[in-house]
Amino acid sequence: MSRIVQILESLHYGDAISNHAIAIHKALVDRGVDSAIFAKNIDSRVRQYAHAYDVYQEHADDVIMYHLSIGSDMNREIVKYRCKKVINYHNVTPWEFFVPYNAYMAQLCRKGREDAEFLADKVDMAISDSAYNSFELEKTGFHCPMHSIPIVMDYSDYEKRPDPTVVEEFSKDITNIVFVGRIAPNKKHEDVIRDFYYYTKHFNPNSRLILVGNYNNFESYYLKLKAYVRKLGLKNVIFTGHIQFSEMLAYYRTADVLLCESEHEGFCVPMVEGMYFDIPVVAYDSTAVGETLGKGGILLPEKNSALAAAVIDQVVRDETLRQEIRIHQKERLEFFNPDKVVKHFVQVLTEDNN
Amino acid sequence: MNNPIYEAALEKAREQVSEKGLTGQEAPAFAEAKVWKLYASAFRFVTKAKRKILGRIGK
Repeated sequence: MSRIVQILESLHYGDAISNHAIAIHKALVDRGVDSAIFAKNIDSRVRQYAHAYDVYQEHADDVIMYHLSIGSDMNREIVKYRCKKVINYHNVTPWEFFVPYNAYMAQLCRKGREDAEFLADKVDMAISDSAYNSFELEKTGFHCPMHSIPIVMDYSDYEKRPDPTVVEEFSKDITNIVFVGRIAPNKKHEDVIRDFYYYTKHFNPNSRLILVGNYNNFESYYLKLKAYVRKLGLKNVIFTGHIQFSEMLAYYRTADVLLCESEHEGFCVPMVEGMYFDIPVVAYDSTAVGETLGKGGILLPEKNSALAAAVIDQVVRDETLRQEIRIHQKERLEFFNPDKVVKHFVQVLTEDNN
Repeated sequence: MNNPIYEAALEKAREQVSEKGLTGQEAPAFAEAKVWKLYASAFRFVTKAKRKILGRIGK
């Protein structure tokens, strides 16, 4: 039986792709499949799951699953292996979004897209987080067999205890509009802020916007956003910056609406998290956002902050609509059931390799 | 694609916006970095041209 080898640049603690790789690894081991993770950088907290990439020795019947999400020298290195190679494509943010704020990150993304092009005819199979990502790969020139399988999300993490201080502070009688995602230009925080401006000014002054996410690498964008908040004269806008997982859980637990105006997502983890926490989701329909939400939350067909604010107002005030959204979101959530997703991964990775 | 109930909610929201006389353009704009945008366009142009030339000479 083949060994499934996952290779990635960095195995972090708590990051979506790393969690995904670990979940697949655990599932393979549980099913008696030989599995290993190799990474160049390994966080000490997940050390037990991975080996240093330098020590990887290829076996002829290995199946390599390489995680591609950004430019890296490793992206092209994997073609040197002769065994079956599978690319797990998590999408690379179009570099143009980053140019105004971080030339280095823009460069990395540009390289990531060029690397994907380079790999197009050099891998045996591609697995993408979404149909949108698969479509992108096709456009890039991939003609190998392709599968769209979502990221594996471990729901048990969400049952951990939310930070009690945050829950206490943010559970007061005020409407919490929340957006979760690192501060990055493709996420269009400025549009979320503008939506909130309309909402608090024209619909509900007793409201607050909480922007959950760190701003590493995009400090200048963060400062511009802060300046924009001041320009709009908004008082109730909170940037959490980097926070602990328990604090993120607390923000989800206290949210009334999850709002997203992102213009580029290859898969949208916070959408799934929002559905898990039973928060009505209102999101701009772009890239893989609509696909992730399915028939769950409300999709905004256009960028119009007045309209977004009016939709949020209806969701907040209309209990029947909220219930309707919750029912559809629960149904949609089933699609991301980690057991099912993991099973699908194991099936695809192990078929025809024995 | 929204379901009919969400579409009705969107329609109602549009009516509300119209009743309040809002267009969505009233808020001051976010100051985008125009110089960088120009740089991005130039960079994109050069990259495309480079690729085209390399494609023609078969590299």
